[in-house]
Amino acid sequence: MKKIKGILLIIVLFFACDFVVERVMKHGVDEMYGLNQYADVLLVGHSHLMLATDKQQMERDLGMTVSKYTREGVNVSDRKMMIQQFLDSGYGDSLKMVLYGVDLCTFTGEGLSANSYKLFYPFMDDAKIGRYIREQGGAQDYWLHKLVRTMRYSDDGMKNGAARGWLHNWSNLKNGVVDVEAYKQRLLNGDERHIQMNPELMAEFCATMDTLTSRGIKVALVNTPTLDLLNAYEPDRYQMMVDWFQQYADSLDLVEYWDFNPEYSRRHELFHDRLHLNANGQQVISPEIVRKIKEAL
Amino acid sequence: MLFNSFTFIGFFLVVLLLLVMEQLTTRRVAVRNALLLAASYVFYGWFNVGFLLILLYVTFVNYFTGYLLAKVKAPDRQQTTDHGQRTKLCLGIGVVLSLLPLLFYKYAAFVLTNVQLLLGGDPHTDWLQGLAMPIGISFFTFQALSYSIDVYRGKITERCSLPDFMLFVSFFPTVLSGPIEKARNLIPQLRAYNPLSANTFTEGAVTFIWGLFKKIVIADRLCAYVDWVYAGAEYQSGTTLALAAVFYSIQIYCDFSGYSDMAWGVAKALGFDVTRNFRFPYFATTIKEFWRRWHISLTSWFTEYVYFSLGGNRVRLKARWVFNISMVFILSGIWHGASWNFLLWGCLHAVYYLIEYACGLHRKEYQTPRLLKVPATLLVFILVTIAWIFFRIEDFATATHVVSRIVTDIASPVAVGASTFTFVCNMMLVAIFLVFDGMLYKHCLIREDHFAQPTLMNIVWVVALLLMLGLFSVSADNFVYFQF
Repeated sequence: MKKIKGILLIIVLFFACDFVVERVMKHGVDEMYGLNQYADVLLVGHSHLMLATDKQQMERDLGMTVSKYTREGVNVSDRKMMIQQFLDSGYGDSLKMVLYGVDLCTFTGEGLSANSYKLFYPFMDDAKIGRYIREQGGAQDYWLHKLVRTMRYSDDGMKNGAARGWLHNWSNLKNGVVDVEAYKQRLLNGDERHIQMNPELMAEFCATMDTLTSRGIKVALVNTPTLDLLNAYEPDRYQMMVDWFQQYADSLDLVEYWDFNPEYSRRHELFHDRLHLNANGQQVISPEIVRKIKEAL
Repeated sequence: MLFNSFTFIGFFLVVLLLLVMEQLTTRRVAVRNALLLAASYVFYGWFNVGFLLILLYVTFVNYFTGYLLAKVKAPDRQQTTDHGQRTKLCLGIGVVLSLLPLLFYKYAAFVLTNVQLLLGGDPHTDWLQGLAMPIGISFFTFQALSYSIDVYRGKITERCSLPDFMLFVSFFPTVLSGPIEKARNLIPQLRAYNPLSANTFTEGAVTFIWGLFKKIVIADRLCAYVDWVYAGAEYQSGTTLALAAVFYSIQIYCDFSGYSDMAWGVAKALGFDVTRNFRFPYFATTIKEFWRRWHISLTSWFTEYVYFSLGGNRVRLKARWVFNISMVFILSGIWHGASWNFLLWGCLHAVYYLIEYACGLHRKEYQTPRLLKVPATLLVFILVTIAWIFFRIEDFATATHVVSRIVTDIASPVAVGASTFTFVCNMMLVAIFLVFDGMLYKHCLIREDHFAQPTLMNIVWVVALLLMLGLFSVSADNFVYFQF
């Protein structure tokens, strides 16, 4: 009898702790991504936009609340889900503008995480997101994370997000500078992603824009700088991509295209690697983005 | 089907359910063993159905060797030279036939390559490269051999039925990576009816959880860092290489002892006692003690079937004893794989052992003085860690570079890897693991025997393990010792 009591105690204690830990983590994640506040400006994208923008500085300079919902490796479908999540959260009504990160590989569909649906585990109690996870990951994956809540945070990036949310720390911690010579060698070896225009991803992207503009929300397609060597790897395709975004933005009243590459992609000292800005780069680009937001609003 | 997969959990629950039903109805050893045998073949065949043929071959060779030995052997076997020679020949043929698949899969490419190199030609062993080595072949071959040798030595006198023997060799908790059970330990348990109970299930479950924690929270996380460091060893600082070496020591311990704990837990939950393969080896104060605590079932196998066969320490010449000891360590190294680095690892341990002997630390009356226990433990850990560098890095030049860099550049900055946060998490988890392992060593926490009366501390420990499994586990699809 004592043993059965012991086993029961372990089970009850585990699920109680599991629930409490998950709540603590969830609060941190919500703080980190600004999902528990009314926001004037919402940033959606992956690591490019994440490292290029200083949320606290933007809030100070704009005098507005900014939610920075940027996560590593999210593709076009994930971003659609992220925007929908924010709009459905009850905090979406105050939204004036969305900054949507784009880059040369937005429609490539390769290189970004194929299992990036896992980034949504913390929000799976939301019915729509729960359905999305079930579709992408299958029933076993879904029920496992439904039952054991701490497993939703098994990814270190998620725990890091929760910790930074609690600490209110949105800093870019990348202080290194890109090794240009090593990257040139990599290019010579042909070890780089190819730019593609996947029609399905383009359709997802357009549907996302429709969702936002139909609510009267302004959208800026923000192409934060990537290294000039990378941009010159497939120059024709790169130009085709840039032209497509420009023409798309020109065709819609509420959409603008901001490309920071012409001015900054040659300044190698601003890059941590070929794709991402370092802390110095953030301090240069973030005020530029603020200036553009002020002009747009 | 790995222990740390949901497929295995599902498989185990089905097996458990069938055994419970059997216990509630027939309660017959034969029925239970038939169920376990079917489960074991499904488990092993899950990896590759073709591997079952090798398992069956080794099983039949040893069963019939044992059968013939028992038949040929008379009570007065030792009295007639003829009988003695006949049984020796019978055992010899059995051992050679048993070892053939192991030698072919594991050592053929290595031997052929080196022979061709010695003869001055280009090695042509491409035809062997595509062959996948049957998982656990070293383990189940040695386990099966223990039966033939024990029958020959008269340590097993009772005849074993073929189904029981098939189950002994293929018993699914141990078939992949041990512990290498001796026939005289496991077969009597297979003959008896050990009913399933809540006690054994709880003890098994707690040990399984602890093993799972060591494997997927500690070993697999450290593995990513170690692989990253050694992939570019020539560019890393001495401190980074030293940290990677320490991490590898912890990784390989957690990986293999984690697997062994899971195997022990699964067997225990089914009502069987298999050997504890590890008893806190990094708390050893001498190399001799380390080997009494590390991979116990293999050490014990080599001691009993190789060292004693060579004469052990009952030899007239000291040089012969040195040879016997060295052979055990060298064979132990080669057992891990056909590669010079494993041989070197075995030689290093032989050297450690013999130096310790020369210093008089092997005398029965010797006990490490209380004040020297911590420094001695650290020294043993450092020596073992240096040996692990040669075990982990196949290329001798890289391994020596790592050691020399550690010695000459120990006060340099540490590279944290791809993510500082992950590095901090890893350090924290290693610290937690060391505290838990220390508490188990000092019996502040209990995994077995008395878990029927769990203390509050034990309950909190299990809950903490479960939470950390949820929060910090990473998925890996292999165990280090599967390759052996």
